[in-house]
Amino acid sequence: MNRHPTDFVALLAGLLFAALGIGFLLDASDTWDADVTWLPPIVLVALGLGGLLATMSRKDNSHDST
Amino acid sequence: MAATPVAAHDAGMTSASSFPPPPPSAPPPPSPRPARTLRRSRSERVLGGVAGGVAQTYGVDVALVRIGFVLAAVLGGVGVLVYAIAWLVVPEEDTGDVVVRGLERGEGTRVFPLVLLIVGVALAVGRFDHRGPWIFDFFWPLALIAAGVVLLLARAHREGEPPADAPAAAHDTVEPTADATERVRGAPISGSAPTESAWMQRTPWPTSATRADRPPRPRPFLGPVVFSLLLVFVGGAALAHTSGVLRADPQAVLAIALAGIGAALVVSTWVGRARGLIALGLALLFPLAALSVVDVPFEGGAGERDYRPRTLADLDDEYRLVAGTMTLDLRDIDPRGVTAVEASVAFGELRVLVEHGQPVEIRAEAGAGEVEIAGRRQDGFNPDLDESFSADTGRDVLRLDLRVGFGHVVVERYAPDRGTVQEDAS
Repeated sequence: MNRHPTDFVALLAGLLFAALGIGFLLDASDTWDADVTWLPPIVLVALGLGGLLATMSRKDNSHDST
Repeated sequence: MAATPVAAHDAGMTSASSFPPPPPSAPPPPSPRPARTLRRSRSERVLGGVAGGVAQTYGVDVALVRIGFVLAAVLGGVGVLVYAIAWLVVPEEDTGDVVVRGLERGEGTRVFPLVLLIVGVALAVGRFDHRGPWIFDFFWPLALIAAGVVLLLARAHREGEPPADAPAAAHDTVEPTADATERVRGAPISGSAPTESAWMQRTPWPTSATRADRPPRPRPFLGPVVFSLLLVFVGGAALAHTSGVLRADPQAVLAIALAGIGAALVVSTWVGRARGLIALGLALLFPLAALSVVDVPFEGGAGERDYRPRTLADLDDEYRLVAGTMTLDLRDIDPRGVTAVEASVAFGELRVLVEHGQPVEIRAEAGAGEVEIAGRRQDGFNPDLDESFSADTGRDVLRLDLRVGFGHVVVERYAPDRGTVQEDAS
């Protein structure tokens, strides 16, 4: 696999899922009590940021190519 | 095909005699840049090409648009409605076909899967307030949704394959593909005045040349590998749990899977492609959130259970159910000392009957849903009630610990002469 330009959407989603996965794992082990009411706003904010990042990176690429 | 320019491009409305030939030496006018109007995509398509069309029109990543539609569909069903309307009314790129016009031509099969989807989602949304065991209430809505999705996917797959007689048919007609493409974009048409059969002909594979012109994308490696590993991991954990080798907590298993998806996506930031895992991760969030709320054992199977122990010897310490309705009738029990009973239902309803006059201490809680003890109610996330009822009967105390994950706990005190009695606890 060759290295490609940084995919910020994948990075954002990856960090979010990793953090949520660890959070749910701690909740399952009773180490930490997860409050799922926080989940929808967190996911929505992350989706919005992902959309912004995708749009901005696409715009940058189009500027580079012109 | 002879190259005879035409002046009008909507030949479906104009006869062939109304195509005056332009001066032969006139250079073709510069073709205006096609307007970025919304079209259902044929190249970026999973179902109807709506998400792909939106992505191409607005220049955003198609995966994000799809995720938005999925989330909107799950959170109230609006996404399905919006997608359905867009599928019906937005023209398809290249051909300009609109599904609602197809209905007039008797192409009902295009819309049937969508109808299944809409009905399924509407039924599901309408049942969220239902008090019964949700697994049964949601069976038909989910089945309809699944049927609609399967039919749509099957249709999308079928449309991606050329028919057996496609080459012969292409030679028999006057290249409707190019004509149709220009007709959609509003550009002047070059070529002979189309015959009626050419214009009326559906253009089955207008994007084949476009697809062939694309450079071949490397097949993704990271995403499929991670997905396969996740299947092995989750399936292996379920196997181990079923065979009794280890006691796997479903929430822990899915949480590890989600963290693995996150790690793979971080790797794909620089190496490989795995954006498809974003949709999988979002899909995993829903069961994980549900399991996080459900803090009860996943034991006892599913279905409807009715227990009415007649003597203290018949009474068990624990009663468990994963999904369904459990009725625990304790009216015949005469406790000796302090008699404790635990009962839980992960998804569904737990109903307990005790005799009026029986001293009882009750602790009832739910992850999400409603708790009701002799007329007192609490609902929402984590409702719980502690009540105790005493009586001057000289009988010993019955202690109840009742839990549901998602659903309804109800305790009723029953008097033979008065039926269900609702009164203040002592």
